Amino acid sequence: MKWVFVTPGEIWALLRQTQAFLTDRLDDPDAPRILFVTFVAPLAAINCIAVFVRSLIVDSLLAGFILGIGTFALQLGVWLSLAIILPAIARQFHTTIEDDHSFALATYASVPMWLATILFVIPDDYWLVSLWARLTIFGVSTFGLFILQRGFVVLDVRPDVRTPLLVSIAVAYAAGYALLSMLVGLTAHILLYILT
Amino acid sequence: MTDSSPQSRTDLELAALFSKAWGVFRRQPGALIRGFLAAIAGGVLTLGFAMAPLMVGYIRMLDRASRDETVDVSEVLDGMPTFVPAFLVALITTSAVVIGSIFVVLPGVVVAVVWCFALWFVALAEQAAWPSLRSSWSLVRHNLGNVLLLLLAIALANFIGSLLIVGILVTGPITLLVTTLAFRELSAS
Repeated sequence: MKWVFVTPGEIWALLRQTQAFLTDRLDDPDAPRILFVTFVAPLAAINCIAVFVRSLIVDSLLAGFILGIGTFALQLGVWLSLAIILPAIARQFHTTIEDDHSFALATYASVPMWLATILFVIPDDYWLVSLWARLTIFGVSTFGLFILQRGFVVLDVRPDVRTPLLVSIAVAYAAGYALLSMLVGLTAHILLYILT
Repeated sequence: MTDSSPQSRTDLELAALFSKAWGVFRRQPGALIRGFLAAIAGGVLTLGFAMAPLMVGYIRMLDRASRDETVDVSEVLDGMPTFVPAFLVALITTSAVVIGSIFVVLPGVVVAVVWCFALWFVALAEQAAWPSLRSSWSLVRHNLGNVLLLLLAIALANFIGSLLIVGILVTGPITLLVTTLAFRELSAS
């Protein structure tokens, strides 16, 4: 299939005409490795670059490098975990989501969050602005739930299980994100402590 | 939609597992909490050296409890004859997780996940260290989605338990029971 990098037009189509976009993409979903190269890696890199730039401004090149790489690993880890556990969560509700569909859904649902993480460029020094940035990232990320919900419609998931499925995915996603970000943050700071 | 993924061979129903584990726990909560505390305390007092063998004893105790047998705290010591394989499994896993974590965490997490059932293979299949690590890898590989979801649910339950401080005394044994029941279900398939 298409080894073409994601374009702003595609992102716009996903955000503005979600169901039409998903109908097209979920009919014959890209393989996970294609999604990874063309969609996931470029968009997950936004967070990495934002953290790198912020650390360069307020700290050092080494801190920027370690925290940037750590953030990239975090985004990839969360994406991969979501894509892998989505079919298992679906089976808890006696419904089936195929692996390729799961990877596609996890990718498209993560797009709003990946875009919003550009706000991580804002330094933590001004707590009010920093708080606003994080709340905005959280708020924008919840649009991913809407994308997932539209995806369930396209995949013909039974209407009575859509909401519990969505809630379970949101809880699992939040737990996975919190757990991984804690581990990544801890390791990055230990590495920084050792190296500086 | 049909699902042809390898991990769909066995469907772990988390709600049923937690419900069964809660039923087992309710039958003899005192013994299960005492056993949990004994395994942890024994591990701490021996600076971690006896933690894995005691945990093997505790897993065997939980397995017997899940078959409605009456258990006693002294059964935690049943794991001591497996000291060598249990200790090696813990040593290899911990070292690999620490080394893997240096490379931006993910390799460490992967190692922790793929070898998460190794101690259960030592306890319930009486395997040696290296075969138990290989068996765990094989089991997780074929049930990746189920296992990740299980670990996430366990982490969440224990997090909630630790918020209530003494809650971990309840969620600890229950989540280990859930893991034991899941191990039985997955390895049977």
